Amino acid sequence: MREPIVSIRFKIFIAFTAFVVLIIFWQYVSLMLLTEKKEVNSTTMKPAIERGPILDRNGRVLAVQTLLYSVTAWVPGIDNPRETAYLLSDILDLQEEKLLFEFNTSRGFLYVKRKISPTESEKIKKLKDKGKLKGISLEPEYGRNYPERELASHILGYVGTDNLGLSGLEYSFEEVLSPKPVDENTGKTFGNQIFLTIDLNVQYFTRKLAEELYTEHKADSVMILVMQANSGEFLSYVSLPSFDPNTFLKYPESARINRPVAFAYEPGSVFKVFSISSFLELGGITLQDHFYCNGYYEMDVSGRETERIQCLGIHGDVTPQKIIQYSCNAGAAYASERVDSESFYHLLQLFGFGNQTGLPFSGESYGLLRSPQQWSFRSKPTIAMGQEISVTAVQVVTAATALANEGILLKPHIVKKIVSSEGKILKENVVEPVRRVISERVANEMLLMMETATEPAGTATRAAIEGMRISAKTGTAQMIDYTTGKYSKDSYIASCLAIFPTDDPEIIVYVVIVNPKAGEYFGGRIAAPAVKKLGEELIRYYGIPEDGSRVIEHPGRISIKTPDPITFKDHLPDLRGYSKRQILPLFQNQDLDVVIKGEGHVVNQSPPPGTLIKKGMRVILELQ
Amino acid sequence: MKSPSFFEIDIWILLSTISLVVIGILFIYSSGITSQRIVVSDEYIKQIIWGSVGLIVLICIVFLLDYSRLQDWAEYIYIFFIFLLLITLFIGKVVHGAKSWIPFFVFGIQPSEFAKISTILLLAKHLARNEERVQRITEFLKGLGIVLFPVFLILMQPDLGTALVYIPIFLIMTYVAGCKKRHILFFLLTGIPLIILSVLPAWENYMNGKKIPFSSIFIETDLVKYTISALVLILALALLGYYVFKKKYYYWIVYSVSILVFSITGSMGARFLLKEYQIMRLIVFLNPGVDPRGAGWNIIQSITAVGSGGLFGKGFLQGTQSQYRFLPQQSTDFIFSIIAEEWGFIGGMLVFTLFLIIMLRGLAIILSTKDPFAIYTGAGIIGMIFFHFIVNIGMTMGIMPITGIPLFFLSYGGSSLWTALIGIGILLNINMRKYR
Repeated sequence: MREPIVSIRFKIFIAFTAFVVLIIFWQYVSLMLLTEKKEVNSTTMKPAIERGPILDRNGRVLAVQTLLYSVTAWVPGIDNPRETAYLLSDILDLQEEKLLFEFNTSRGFLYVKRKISPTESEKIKKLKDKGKLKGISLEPEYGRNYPERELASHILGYVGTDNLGLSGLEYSFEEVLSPKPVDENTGKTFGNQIFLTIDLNVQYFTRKLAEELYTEHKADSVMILVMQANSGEFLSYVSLPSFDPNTFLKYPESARINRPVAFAYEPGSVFKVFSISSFLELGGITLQDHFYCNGYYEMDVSGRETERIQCLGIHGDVTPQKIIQYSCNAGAAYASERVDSESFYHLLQLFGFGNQTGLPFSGESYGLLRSPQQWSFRSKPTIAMGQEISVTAVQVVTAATALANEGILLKPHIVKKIVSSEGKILKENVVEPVRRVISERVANEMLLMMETATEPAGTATRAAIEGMRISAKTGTAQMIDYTTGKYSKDSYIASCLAIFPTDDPEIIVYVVIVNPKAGEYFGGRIAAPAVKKLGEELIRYYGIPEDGSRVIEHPGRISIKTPDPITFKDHLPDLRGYSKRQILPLFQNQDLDVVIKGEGHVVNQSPPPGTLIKKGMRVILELQ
Repeated sequence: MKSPSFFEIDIWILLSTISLVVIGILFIYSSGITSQRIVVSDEYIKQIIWGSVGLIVLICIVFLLDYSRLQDWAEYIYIFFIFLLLITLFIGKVVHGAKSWIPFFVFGIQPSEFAKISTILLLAKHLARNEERVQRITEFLKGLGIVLFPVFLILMQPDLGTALVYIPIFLIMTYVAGCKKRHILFFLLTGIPLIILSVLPAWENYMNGKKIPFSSIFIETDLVKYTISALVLILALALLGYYVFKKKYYYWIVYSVSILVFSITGSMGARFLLKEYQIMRLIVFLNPGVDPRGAGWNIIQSITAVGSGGLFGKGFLQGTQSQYRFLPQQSTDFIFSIIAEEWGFIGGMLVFTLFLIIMLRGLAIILSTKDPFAIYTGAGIIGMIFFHFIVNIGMTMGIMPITGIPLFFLSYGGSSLWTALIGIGILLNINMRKYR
């Protein structure tokens, strides 16, 4: 054994070991004895964020932050339990013995009282400044208050105890209302404000009417949507039953459902305005075409018996206009024979059926529009009458924008703008034309046909407003009984869609009464009068004159925005949204190696926009 | 040979060990109970079973076995555990992202823990048998091979922390055995830039937000090709120069350039092998604020727990960090944080002292032994315990990266406890038979 080497090595080894131990030990001493004792809870506390308010289009408050203090105790930190209990019980109006008992029995952390009044917290602060109440602290707790209570509950949604949005816009706009703090040290962050398109006054009288319908007809639910026709902005958005977001826990799930986006149902005859528009647009029928209704629709299917679908009456010889006016099922079914399923399906898709409208609500239904491959021989005529398809209320209203805007569909909006706490506008939603669905001619013809429905012979005559040209269509759909899977004999959905003034539409109203149980159930009998009532109030409120000369400002013609042609120099442009044809110029650039995946429009690009273009750079575009 | 009597045992080591195991059980109990005094975990019962059986195993090793038998069996023990490590890769249970457990009746065993002992034994045997030739690089490399084999298998699991423990064991044992310093240094110098280069890309992303000048020539695959080929060229020229001119400085050029080549290629491999979260752990060690709710959470919570202890602590079962269960893995990796929080500085000092006694008595045993196999085995065991201690305690105080290395004797877990107890058993065994 080489004794000297080993002993030298051992010395070095031990010196090194001792050195490492010393470092660890020093850190240990400094951490445990030299650093000031940190409040343990401070590390787990969230930085204070003032959640931004939600306001209506005129700045009236719908949701606002509240700040109250909670009294907490860290029991091991209380030096004089008797005095502490005495002082606290006095200020907070608590039982002294009970408090003392708590301090003596529990260990660790406890809440003395949550959300105390500002006066109380002021008194406690003063005592703490004097050095009393050791171990007691005041913790700010943020809450949320909804001063209008049930008025706009489904739009707003609600927040949980940690002030985290759980539903509605509170949920969808969590990051906007309560942004991540940029700097945790500065402490407070102010959230952004959201302005809705909703006008609280309109919302108020819409809701009033809905409540009347709800009680009068003993309905399961009532939905009324009012939209500004030329902007796609909701002026009111009411769904009953509703809830108070301040105390949302007290309400059943069924009251909290945001039905206008979540509830899909068969629309019934209201849907004829979209199917007949489609047939006209496709050229399958013209205004001069005649169909014969002898009380039923008869279809010859080779190799089968004749298939019959009942009509509500014997309407005799009908034109498309009469189909709308009388709501003739047989006529609509015969008309559907003139177009092929694929084109009909495509046009309904253009109207937005079977797809989400993109309102910022979670849980929006797609409705149900099956593809023609899944259609039976009955499907086409049945869909033409508004059955075998399910829609949401917002889909119907959105589709109606195409009728009101000379064939161009608008994107629906419920958020007008987002404003930072300093008042800077971060985002403003403007009119967003989505696409042309039908021609200007067909849209205007449909409005005129719908106007005849409000004439004395029409089904929507009860929607007629004196001195105002109004286009309307009613619907009465049998609900599906989910226990039997068949149409129910006594549950109906009564609805009425109205657009006015006919010659220059400004307002779209859609009233849906689900399962009225008080006898009357026809759309024409219970939904149409509601439209009239609401229409009259809207006309008064907005001062829409009879002759149709406009008072509400709106941009004149709407044209579909096509993206600007691609121009770029050294940086890669944002190509998202461009069609395959439009990105052709990219291929002319010799520097780029463009790879395209899929068909349709660009949804994803790599590298991202703004990247400096290098020679031979590979650009991958995903199309959908 | 007569069996030694009980009184020849090193009573200091034995008592310290038992004390540590008992303290461990107490705080595993504390970690499994909430602020409402509700016991949410029965881990402490399992630990009591493992602890008692483990102590019996320890006594058996001391009295019924002669450590020189271990020298004879070293190869077989080594091969047995390598085999276990191999089947772990196939039938292992995945716990915390690593496949390191073999299900065994109701328990699971972790072969990577026991393999530390078997590796120490074989390496000690190798070094002892080639005592005269350890200065040669071939013997050094053979020893390295013995260690790297299990390390590689453990990295495959992948369990970076456990694999890392083998490295200091190797360094300490070869150092004590008298291997050339420049060989050991070469190994060490390759390792450090290897780790730095492995985390560099992530570092640039999370910490700086900007590129470090010239870093890309070590990181980007396209450029590294050129860097490495340039370095290999220099290496070849220097080697040529060394053989032609026999000048010493060529040797040192080869020495340093090959360190660079190995660390760069090694880091490429490491980035390929390591999981994102493992690299993230190294990053958050450098700055826990990078990801305070994710990977940095452990460090921040643990430092808070240790720091809130004060001189006397909050009292047994009174810690907030543990009772409110803020600390993750509080019964295994962060057991020391609970001890520091609840028993304060004094309690921590007690643990420090007990470990120090084991360490110093262990050193005394080695120094009084003449048998090289015993010396190297003892050094390996002490090194292993020491490294676990330093890294785990350092981790709870935020001065070592979080590697998931348990604190021997105290942390919950049968495999690591038994490994430690077997190690102590061997140490005591050596002590009793040193005067033969």
